[in-house]
Amino acid sequence: MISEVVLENNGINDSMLAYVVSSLEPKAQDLAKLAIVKNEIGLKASKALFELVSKSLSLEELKIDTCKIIGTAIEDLVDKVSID
Amino acid sequence: MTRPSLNIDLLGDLELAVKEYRSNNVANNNKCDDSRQAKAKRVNRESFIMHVDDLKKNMEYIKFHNTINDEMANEDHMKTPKEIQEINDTNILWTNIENEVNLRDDLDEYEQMELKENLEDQKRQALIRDMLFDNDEERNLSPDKFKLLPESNKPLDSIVSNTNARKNFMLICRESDKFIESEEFDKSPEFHYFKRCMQENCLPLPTINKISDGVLMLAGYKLNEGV
Repeated sequence: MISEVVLENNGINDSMLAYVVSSLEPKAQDLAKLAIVKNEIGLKASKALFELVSKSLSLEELKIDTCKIIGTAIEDLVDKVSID
Repeated sequence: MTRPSLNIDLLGDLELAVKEYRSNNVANNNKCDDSRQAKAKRVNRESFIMHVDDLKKNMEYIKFHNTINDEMANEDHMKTPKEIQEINDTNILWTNIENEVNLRDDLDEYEQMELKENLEDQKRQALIRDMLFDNDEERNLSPDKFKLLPESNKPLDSIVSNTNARKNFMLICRESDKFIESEEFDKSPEFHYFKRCMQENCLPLPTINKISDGVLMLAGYKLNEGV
Protein backbone atom coordinates (compact mmCIF):
# COMPACT_ATOMS: atom_id res chain seq x y z
CA MET A 1 0.00 0.00 0.00
CA ILE A 2 1.41 3.36 -1.02
CA SER A 3 0.59 6.12 1.46
CA GLU A 4 3.06 8.74 0.30
CA VAL A 5 4.16 9.86 -3.15
CA VAL A 6 7.02 12.25 -3.85
CA LEU A 7 7.40 13.57 -7.39
CA GLU A 8 10.54 15.65 -7.52
CA ASN A 9 12.41 17.00 -10.52
CA ASN A 10 10.93 14.51 -12.97
CA GLY A 11 11.43 16.69 -16.05
CA ILE A 12 7.76 16.53 -17.01
CA ASN A 13 5.45 19.22 -18.29
CA ASP A 14 1.92 20.14 -17.24
CA SER A 15 0.04 17.52 -19.26
CA MET A 16 2.44 14.74 -18.28
CA LEU A 17 2.14 15.67 -14.62
CA ALA A 18 -1.64 15.64 -15.04
CA TYR A 19 -1.37 12.13 -16.43
CA VAL A 20 0.85 10.96 -13.57
CA VAL A 21 -1.42 12.53 -10.94
CA SER A 22 -4.55 11.07 -12.51
CA SER A 23 -2.90 7.64 -12.50
CA LEU A 24 -2.77 7.94 -8.69
CA GLU A 25 -6.55 8.28 -8.46
CA PRO A 26 -7.26 4.55 -8.00
CA LYS A 27 -5.02 4.70 -4.93
CA ALA A 28 -6.44 7.99 -3.69
CA GLN A 29 -8.15 6.29 -0.75
CA ASP A 30 -4.84 5.29 0.79
CA LEU A 31 -2.82 8.34 -0.11
CA ALA A 32 -1.84 10.41 2.93
CA LYS A 33 0.80 12.67 1.46
CA LEU A 34 1.56 13.96 -2.01
CA ALA A 35 4.58 16.14 -2.66
CA ILE A 36 5.24 17.79 -6.02
CA VAL A 37 8.62 19.50 -6.14
CA LYS A 38 10.52 21.12 -9.02
CA ASN A 39 7.92 20.21 -11.63
CA GLU A 40 5.57 22.18 -13.85
CA ILE A 41 1.97 22.76 -12.83
CA GLY A 42 -0.53 24.19 -15.29
CA LEU A 43 -4.27 24.02 -15.73
CA LYS A 44 -4.31 20.32 -16.62
CA ALA A 45 -2.20 19.27 -13.63
CA SER A 46 -4.20 21.48 -11.27
CA LYS A 47 -7.43 19.93 -12.57
CA ALA A 48 -6.01 16.44 -12.04
CA LEU A 49 -4.88 17.46 -8.56
CA PHE A 50 -8.37 18.69 -7.75
CA GLU A 51 -9.85 15.39 -8.91
CA LEU A 52 -7.36 13.51 -6.74
CA VAL A 53 -7.92 15.71 -3.69
CA SER A 54 -11.69 15.48 -3.99
CA LYS A 55 -11.59 11.68 -4.21
CA SER A 56 -9.06 11.17 -1.47
CA LEU A 57 -10.40 10.63 2.03
CA SER A 58 -7.10 10.26 3.79
CA LEU A 59 -4.92 12.94 2.19
CA GLU A 60 -3.29 14.85 5.02
CA GLU A 61 -0.65 16.82 3.18
CA LEU A 62 -0.36 18.26 -0.30
CA LYS A 63 3.05 19.84 -0.77
CA ILE A 64 3.80 21.96 -3.83
CA ASP A 65 7.30 23.36 -3.67
CA THR A 66 9.60 25.11 -6.16
CA CYS A 67 7.28 24.36 -9.05
CA LYS A 68 6.84 26.35 -12.23
CA ILE A 69 3.27 27.52 -12.05
CA ILE A 70 1.54 28.33 -15.32
CA GLY A 71 -1.26 30.88 -15.30
CA THR A 72 -3.64 30.79 -12.39
CA ALA A 73 -3.38 27.03 -11.82
CA ILE A 74 -2.85 27.20 -8.07
CA GLU A 75 -5.48 29.88 -7.51
CA ASP A 76 -7.98 27.78 -9.45
CA LEU A 77 -7.07 24.69 -7.43
CA VAL A 78 -7.37 26.52 -4.13
CA ASP A 79 -10.68 28.08 -5.19
CA LYS A 80 -12.12 24.72 -6.23
CA VAL A 81 -10.98 23.01 -3.03
CA SER A 82 -12.30 25.79 -0.80
CA ILE A 83 -15.67 25.89 -2.63
CA ASP A 84 -15.92 22.11 -2.46
CA MET B 1 31.64 -3.27 -26.74
CA THR B 2 35.14 -4.31 -27.67
CA ARG B 3 37.86 -4.05 -25.10
CA PRO B 4 40.42 -1.50 -26.24
CA SER B 5 44.00 -2.41 -25.52
CA LEU B 6 46.06 -0.50 -23.00
CA ASN B 7 47.84 2.52 -24.44
CA ILE B 8 51.34 2.38 -22.99
CA ASP B 9 52.11 5.79 -24.56
CA LEU B 10 50.20 7.33 -21.67
CA LEU B 11 53.17 6.45 -19.49
CA GLY B 12 55.32 8.61 -21.77
CA ASP B 13 52.81 11.44 -21.40
CA LEU B 14 53.01 11.16 -17.65
CA GLU B 15 56.79 11.14 -17.72
CA LEU B 16 56.78 14.30 -19.86
CA ALA B 17 54.35 15.95 -17.47
CA VAL B 18 56.61 15.15 -14.51
CA LYS B 19 59.68 16.50 -16.35
CA GLU B 20 57.84 19.64 -17.36
CA TYR B 21 56.67 20.10 -13.82
CA ARG B 22 60.21 19.71 -12.47
CA SER B 23 61.72 22.11 -15.02
CA ASN B 24 59.01 24.70 -14.30
CA ASN B 25 59.61 24.27 -10.62
CA VAL B 26 63.38 24.83 -10.97
CA ALA B 27 62.82 27.90 -13.14
CA ASN B 28 60.36 29.27 -10.66
CA ASN B 29 62.77 28.64 -7.78
CA ASN B 30 65.35 30.83 -9.49
CA LYS B 31 63.04 33.67 -10.46
CA CYS B 32 60.38 34.13 -7.86
CA ASP B 33 60.40 35.40 -4.37
CA ASP B 34 59.04 33.26 -1.56
CA SER B 35 55.37 34.11 -1.93
CA ARG B 36 55.34 33.89 -5.70
CA GLN B 37 57.36 30.73 -5.51
CA ALA B 38 54.84 29.15 -3.18
CA LYS B 39 52.02 30.22 -5.49
CA ALA B 40 53.80 28.87 -8.58
CA LYS B 41 54.50 25.63 -6.73
CA ARG B 42 50.86 25.29 -5.86
CA VAL B 43 49.75 26.03 -9.44
CA ASN B 44 52.26 23.53 -10.80
CA ARG B 45 51.14 20.92 -8.34
CA GLU B 46 47.53 21.49 -9.33
CA SER B 47 48.43 21.29 -13.02
CA PHE B 48 50.28 18.04 -12.32
CA ILE B 49 47.22 16.63 -10.55
CA MET B 50 45.00 17.83 -13.39
CA HIS B 51 47.31 16.17 -15.89
CA VAL B 52 47.13 12.91 -13.98
CA ASP B 53 43.34 13.35 -13.92
CA ASP B 54 43.30 13.82 -17.68
CA LEU B 55 45.37 10.70 -18.13
CA LYS B 56 42.97 8.78 -15.97
CA LYS B 57 40.00 10.08 -17.93
CA ASN B 58 41.65 8.84 -21.07
CA MET B 59 42.06 5.49 -19.40
CA GLU B 60 38.42 5.10 -18.40
CA TYR B 61 38.16 2.11 -20.60
CA ILE B 62 41.00 0.37 -18.85
CA LYS B 63 39.84 -2.30 -16.45
CA PHE B 64 41.31 -2.04 -13.01
CA HIS B 65 41.20 -5.24 -11.01
CA ASN B 66 41.89 -5.31 -7.36
CA THR B 67 44.16 -8.28 -6.87
CA ILE B 68 43.72 -8.12 -3.09
CA ASN B 69 40.14 -9.26 -3.41
CA ASP B 70 40.18 -13.03 -3.21
CA GLU B 71 36.86 -13.37 -4.93
CA MET B 72 38.05 -11.48 -7.95
CA ALA B 73 41.41 -13.21 -7.84
CA ASN B 74 39.63 -16.55 -8.02
CA GLU B 75 38.02 -15.46 -11.26
CA ASP B 76 41.40 -15.09 -12.94
CA HIS B 77 41.28 -18.59 -14.33
CA MET B 78 38.17 -17.55 -16.31
CA LYS B 79 39.95 -14.67 -18.03
CA THR B 80 41.54 -14.80 -21.42
CA PRO B 81 45.32 -14.22 -21.77
CA LYS B 82 44.52 -10.85 -23.37
CA GLU B 83 42.43 -9.79 -20.36
CA ILE B 84 45.14 -10.92 -17.95
CA GLN B 85 47.68 -8.93 -19.98
CA GLU B 86 45.43 -5.85 -19.77
CA ILE B 87 45.13 -6.24 -16.00
CA ASN B 88 48.88 -6.63 -15.61
CA ASP B 89 49.53 -3.59 -17.82
CA THR B 90 47.07 -1.56 -15.78
CA ASN B 91 48.67 -2.61 -12.51
CA ILE B 92 52.12 -1.73 -13.89
CA LEU B 93 50.78 1.66 -14.92
CA TRP B 94 49.39 2.36 -11.46
CA THR B 95 52.65 1.20 -9.85
CA ASN B 96 54.68 3.48 -12.12
CA ILE B 97 52.50 6.45 -11.29
CA GLU B 98 52.82 5.69 -7.57
CA ASN B 99 56.60 5.39 -7.91
CA GLU B 100 56.71 8.75 -9.69
CA VAL B 101 54.85 10.29 -6.78
CA ASN B 102 57.11 8.60 -4.22
CA LEU B 103 60.24 9.84 -5.99
CA ARG B 104 59.16 13.45 -5.88
CA ASP B 105 61.48 14.89 -3.28
CA ASP B 106 60.44 18.47 -4.11
CA LEU B 107 57.10 17.97 -2.41
CA ASP B 108 56.67 18.08 1.31
CA GLU B 109 55.02 15.28 3.26
CA TYR B 110 51.59 16.89 3.15
CA GLU B 111 51.72 17.44 -0.60
CA GLN B 112 52.85 13.88 -1.23
CA MET B 113 50.03 12.62 0.94
CA GLU B 114 47.57 14.76 -1.02
CA LEU B 115 48.83 13.36 -4.32
CA LYS B 116 48.61 9.81 -3.01
CA GLU B 117 45.08 10.40 -1.81
CA ASN B 118 44.19 11.73 -5.24
CA LEU B 119 45.62 8.60 -6.84
CA GLU B 120 43.81 6.33 -4.40
CA ASP B 121 40.58 8.16 -5.16
CA GLN B 122 41.04 7.59 -8.86
CA LYS B 123 41.84 3.93 -8.25
CA ARG B 124 38.59 3.56 -6.36
CA GLN B 125 36.68 5.29 -9.15
CA ALA B 126 38.27 2.94 -11.70
CA LEU B 127 37.36 -0.04 -9.53
CA ILE B 128 33.75 1.13 -9.24
CA ARG B 129 33.51 1.72 -12.98
CA ASP B 130 34.88 -1.75 -13.50
CA MET B 131 32.24 -3.28 -11.25
CA LEU B 132 29.29 -1.25 -12.50
CA PHE B 133 29.93 -1.24 -16.20
CA ASP B 134 31.39 -4.66 -16.80
CA ASN B 135 29.85 -6.21 -19.88
CA ASP B 136 30.38 -9.73 -18.66
CA GLU B 137 26.85 -10.83 -17.73
CA GLU B 138 28.10 -13.70 -15.63
CA ARG B 139 29.70 -11.32 -13.18
CA ASN B 140 27.19 -9.96 -10.71
CA LEU B 141 27.49 -6.87 -8.62
CA SER B 142 28.25 -7.93 -5.14
CA PRO B 143 28.13 -5.66 -2.10
CA ASP B 144 31.02 -7.75 -0.77
CA LYS B 145 33.26 -6.12 -3.33
CA PHE B 146 32.49 -2.75 -1.82
CA LYS B 147 33.74 -3.91 1.57
CA LEU B 148 37.18 -3.07 0.21
CA LEU B 149 36.23 0.58 0.02
CA PRO B 150 36.66 2.87 3.01
CA GLU B 151 33.81 4.04 5.22
CA SER B 152 33.48 7.27 3.25
CA ASN B 153 32.20 5.25 0.27
CA LYS B 154 29.33 3.61 2.19
CA PRO B 155 26.66 5.50 0.18
CA LEU B 156 27.78 3.36 -2.72
CA ASP B 157 26.01 0.45 -1.06
CA SER B 158 22.70 2.03 -2.02
CA ILE B 159 23.89 2.44 -5.61
CA VAL B 160 24.83 -1.24 -5.69
CA SER B 161 21.53 -2.37 -4.18
CA ASN B 162 19.56 -0.13 -6.58
CA THR B 163 21.51 -1.40 -9.56
CA ASN B 164 21.06 -4.99 -8.44
CA ALA B 165 17.32 -4.48 -7.96
CA ARG B 166 17.05 -2.94 -11.41
CA LYS B 167 19.07 -5.75 -12.90
CA ASN B 168 16.88 -8.39 -11.23
CA PHE B 169 13.74 -6.66 -12.47
CA MET B 170 15.12 -6.58 -16.00
CA LEU B 171 15.89 -10.29 -15.70
CA ILE B 172 12.30 -10.97 -14.63
CA CYS B 173 10.96 -8.90 -17.54
CA ARG B 174 13.22 -10.60 -20.05
CA GLU B 175 12.68 -14.17 -18.94
CA SER B 176 9.19 -13.94 -17.49
CA ASP B 177 8.00 -16.96 -19.50
CA LYS B 178 10.37 -19.21 -17.58
CA PHE B 179 9.22 -17.89 -14.21
CA ILE B 180 5.47 -18.18 -14.60
CA GLU B 181 5.30 -21.53 -12.86
CA SER B 182 8.19 -20.96 -10.50
CA GLU B 183 7.26 -20.83 -6.81
CA GLU B 184 10.22 -18.65 -6.05
CA PHE B 185 9.09 -15.92 -8.39
CA ASP B 186 5.46 -16.33 -7.41
CA LYS B 187 6.40 -14.60 -4.14
CA SER B 188 8.31 -11.84 -5.90
CA PRO B 189 6.46 -8.49 -5.92
CA GLU B 190 8.46 -7.47 -8.98
CA PHE B 191 7.11 -10.47 -10.88
CA HIS B 192 3.51 -9.69 -9.89
CA TYR B 193 4.03 -6.06 -10.87
CA PHE B 194 5.34 -7.19 -14.26
CA LYS B 195 2.40 -9.59 -14.76
CA ARG B 196 -0.05 -6.83 -13.89
CA CYS B 197 1.64 -4.47 -16.34
CA MET B 198 1.36 -7.12 -19.03
CA GLN B 199 -2.32 -7.68 -18.26
CA GLU B 200 -3.07 -3.97 -18.45
CA ASN B 201 -0.78 -3.45 -21.43
CA CYS B 202 1.39 -0.94 -19.54
CA LEU B 203 5.08 -0.36 -19.85
CA PRO B 204 6.71 -2.03 -16.80
CA LEU B 205 8.87 0.81 -15.55
CA PRO B 206 11.27 -0.23 -12.78
CA THR B 207 9.58 2.24 -10.43
CA ILE B 208 8.57 -0.58 -8.11
CA ASN B 209 12.10 -0.45 -6.74
CA LYS B 210 11.44 3.14 -5.71
CA ILE B 211 8.78 2.10 -3.20
CA SER B 212 10.04 1.81 0.33
CA ASP B 213 7.87 1.61 3.46
CA GLY B 214 4.79 2.72 1.55
CA VAL B 215 6.55 5.74 0.08
CA LEU B 216 6.93 6.10 -3.67
CA MET B 217 9.94 8.37 -3.94
CA LEU B 218 10.54 9.59 -7.48
CA ALA B 219 13.16 12.22 -6.75
CA GLY B 220 15.35 13.12 -9.71
CA TYR B 221 13.73 10.28 -11.64
CA LYS B 222 13.20 11.57 -15.17
CA LEU B 223 9.97 10.52 -16.80
CA ASN B 224 9.03 10.83 -20.44
CA GLU B 225 5.90 10.41 -22.51
CA GLY B 226 6.78 6.83 -23.36
CA VAL B 227 5.56 5.05 -26.43
